[in-house]
Amino acid sequence: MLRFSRTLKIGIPLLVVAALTAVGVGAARTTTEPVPRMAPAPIDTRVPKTLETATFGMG
Amino acid sequence: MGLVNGVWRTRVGYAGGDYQDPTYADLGDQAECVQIDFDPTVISYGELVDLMFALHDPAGNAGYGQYAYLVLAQDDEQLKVAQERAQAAGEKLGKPLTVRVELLKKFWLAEDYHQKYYLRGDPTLLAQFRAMFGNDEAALRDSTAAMRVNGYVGQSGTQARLAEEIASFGLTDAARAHLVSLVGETTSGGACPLP
Repeated sequence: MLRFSRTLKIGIPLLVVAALTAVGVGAARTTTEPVPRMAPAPIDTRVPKTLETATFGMG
Repeated sequence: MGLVNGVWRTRVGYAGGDYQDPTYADLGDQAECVQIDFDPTVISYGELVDLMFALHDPAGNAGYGQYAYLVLAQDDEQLKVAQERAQAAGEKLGKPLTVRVELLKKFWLAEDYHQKYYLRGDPTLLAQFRAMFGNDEAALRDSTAAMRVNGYVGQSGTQARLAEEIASFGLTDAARAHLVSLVGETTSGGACPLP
């Protein structure tokens, strides 16, 4: 009986720690996963240097 | 406007009034406006003004308050051109014009969620530009590719035109196929409250 009690005293906290660690590792993996990057669109690399600006209120 | 040849950037905002720091919820006397960066070697300012008059009758409903119909010149040279084009349009129509033609005082950028409004309503295509620019809203707003895609999602383009330029948008094959499928179809995204 005494041995079973000791097993519970040690085992339950160990289980809690293991569960929290698993959750933490999972969360860390999710947040650090890199966002896939794409190259700039070709059209965005050839914008003319000299542009003029027009402003309209479209009604 | 984002699909007009020679137009490279567009942004929406507020102008035409004196109210400081306008927001969509608190516009004061400012009107909703679109600002266009264009290549004058491809399309002239006068041609853009003419295009505006073709899209909206300059002698028709002048709009009111936030929906005012305005041509806001950047400088005296643009003002002269706009006034000449307005006068010519008025003579052609034989009616007094209702559009206001005046110098721009200040253009206030609208909130990010108004910029590239149609594109933002399409998660597949928006994800492509997020992958290019991350959360850099200025880069998304100023992207020519995003402007063009926004125009197609908003049903302003043709399939033939899209076929000519889609390769320049930098989209994945799946996103290209998705965009092609949208053009010519009816979308239910609703109109942007800003132009």
